Amino acid sequence: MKAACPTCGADVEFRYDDSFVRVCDHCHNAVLRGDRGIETLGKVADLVPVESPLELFAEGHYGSTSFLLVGMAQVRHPAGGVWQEWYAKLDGGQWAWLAEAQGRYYLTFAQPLAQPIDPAALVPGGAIVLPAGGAPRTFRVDETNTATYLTARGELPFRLVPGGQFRYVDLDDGAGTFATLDFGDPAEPPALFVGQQVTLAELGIRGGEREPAAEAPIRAQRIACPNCNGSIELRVPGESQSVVCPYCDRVLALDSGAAKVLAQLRSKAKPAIPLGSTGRFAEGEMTVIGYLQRSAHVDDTWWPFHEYLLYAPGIGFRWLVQSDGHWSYVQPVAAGAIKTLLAWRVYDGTLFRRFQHAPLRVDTVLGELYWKVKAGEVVDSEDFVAAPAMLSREADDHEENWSLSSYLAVRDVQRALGDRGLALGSPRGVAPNQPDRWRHSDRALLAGLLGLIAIAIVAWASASNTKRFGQTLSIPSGKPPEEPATGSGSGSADATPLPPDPHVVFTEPFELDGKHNVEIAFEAPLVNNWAYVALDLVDSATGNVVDGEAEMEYYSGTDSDGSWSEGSPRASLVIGPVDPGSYVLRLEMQHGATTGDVPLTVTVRQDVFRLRYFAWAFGILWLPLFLLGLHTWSFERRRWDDANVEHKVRRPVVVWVSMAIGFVIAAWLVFKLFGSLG
Amino acid sequence: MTARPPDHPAVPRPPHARLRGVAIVFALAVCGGYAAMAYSQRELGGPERAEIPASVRSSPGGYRSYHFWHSGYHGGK
Repeated sequence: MKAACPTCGADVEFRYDDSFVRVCDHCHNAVLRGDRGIETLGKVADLVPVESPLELFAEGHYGSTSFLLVGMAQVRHPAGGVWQEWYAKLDGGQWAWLAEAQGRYYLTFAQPLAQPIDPAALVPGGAIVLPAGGAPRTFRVDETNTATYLTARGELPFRLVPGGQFRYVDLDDGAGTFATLDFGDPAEPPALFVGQQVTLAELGIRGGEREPAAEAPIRAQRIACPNCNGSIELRVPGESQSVVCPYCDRVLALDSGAAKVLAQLRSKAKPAIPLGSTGRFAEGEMTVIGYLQRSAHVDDTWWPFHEYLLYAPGIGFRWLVQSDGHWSYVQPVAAGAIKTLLAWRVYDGTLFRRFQHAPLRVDTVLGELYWKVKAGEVVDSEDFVAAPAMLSREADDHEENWSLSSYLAVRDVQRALGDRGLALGSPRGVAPNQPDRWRHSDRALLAGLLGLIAIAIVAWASASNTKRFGQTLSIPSGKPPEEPATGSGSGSADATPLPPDPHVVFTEPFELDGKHNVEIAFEAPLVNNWAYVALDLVDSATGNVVDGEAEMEYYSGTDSDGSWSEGSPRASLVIGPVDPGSYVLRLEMQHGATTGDVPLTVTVRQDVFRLRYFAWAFGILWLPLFLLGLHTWSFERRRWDDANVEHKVRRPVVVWVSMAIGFVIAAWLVFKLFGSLG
Repeated sequence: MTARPPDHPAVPRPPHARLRGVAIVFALAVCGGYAAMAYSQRELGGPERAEIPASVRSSPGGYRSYHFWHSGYHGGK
């Protein structure tokens, strides 16, 4: 339908049946097509210059459906920013809004909503159930605010009055669905728009009045400071809403392209990273365009930290944060994606523990920012940690924003910035999201410990403990005869044989296999006495001998502390596998009493489990595990020392168990010491 | 790999532990050493082995007594 502009008479064409407003290309008056004919809504302002890859009559597709951008409205956020709402006509007659704000894009479709909703009942962080895709869905309130229509181009499906205000609520469900409630007409239920955050690559935008660049470079622009007339470079014209004059430290608001003095900074910012620096971070190359020094109010003190605003077309805004010499790369997170579990938060399958709750204050600013920043501006903040990540919530009465910080080592920041030797400082203490680089070394040791226990259980269960020989002998009192003075000692082939003596005994022969170890065990019923056995396991066939000795002593009595005992009437010797065959034991025996015989039971077993080697291996693995456990405990204590919410740092289990074992060993040593002194 | 929705960045995972490789090798060495000891049933620092002539062996008291009396056990308490 074509009509004449009521103001200038130029032709105004409404190409689509559901368009009500068309901005006259000639005189820039908004022309309304209504029941009462054609009327003007007044002249719309010139467009606020916004760096955007979108243009009128650009084409794109949503899934398999094509669309054309036929109109656009510019809207001012109360914090000073400007966003653009593109009116998209889809094939088949459907239409949608493509919202463009701070480098992000949201494609939303109108949804029928019959229920009245009280906007005052919706607060940031709250929840509401709304119809979406034919089913009710729970949304989280991200923002409630009032915006102002600035200007428009092309055709629009609603009555846009320049300067008119409307209340809106932004919501998301945490699964990628975004929604807006538009309370434009107080007499009607709010308009509900539901859709998704999208990327330009997904939409395949092409064409338009001006072909969009595949990745628009940052085109710098210069403005003059209205206070000192200094030349200020704007690196993101259109997106930046405030800039600080580097010459006179005035904060300038960038309204409608003209700079106005917003405030005077009390102190000059000195960022460690020069503005305009570029760096390659996790999402690509970004430019440092702004700097903030903020402070957190904890324990009656304002603790400063530094934030660098990064920007790249196609990525948007990100932050690089430095606190106490520790660095983090910060990305925005959809509030609805974060779930609450008691005092914790869950995001992306990770549990975050509450760390800090404090007000944050803006101290000083430099460069460009995407909102009209004011020194002294305060927001409420909460931090939740799961090193090397930290979830942060910043909120005021209208908005709640979440972000995810990823810890960066200083060398990673240096590398990202091109190793230019910037003075980035040294980390102090332990950061809330600093990972403990030693912590997970214990997993291999713990696995080794469990493996060791498993091997020991199998070895113990498979040990047959086969008895090969058993005999009870008698140890006579007294000493064996002295060695002759001419004797040449042990093993000498020409030694002079001594006469038989009851202290020296050969056992009956017994058979040993060649595969298993041999345990030779002794037991004597000693009463305040000792016994000593020098033994030789003699291979009857070859004459090969394995020698050894066994000592037993057992003392007991009663004193002022009661009864006591020490020592053991048992002793054993284990030797490795010997050649298979027949063996005898040669035993030289002696006991400490001057009279009487002492019975001595001798038992030979094969294939016995050796607890000693398991204990050694266990100790060798346990010691580093214990030291790592101590380190982890100390590291976490230092981390949580800076928290201002209640959290108890638990000692690792390995430390508790080690302390218990250490206590038992210490008690045993003390007992032994006092016993020997007594 | 599934693309993540905008404003849903992935949570960074903890970096590899510094001593992870060393700890794995150490744990494997200890477990392997123990397993070898347990299944071979050999003894570390086992008793001395020697060959004694049959003529000496057959005579009780004919060998070893020098050791027994000069460096052997001399009583407890």
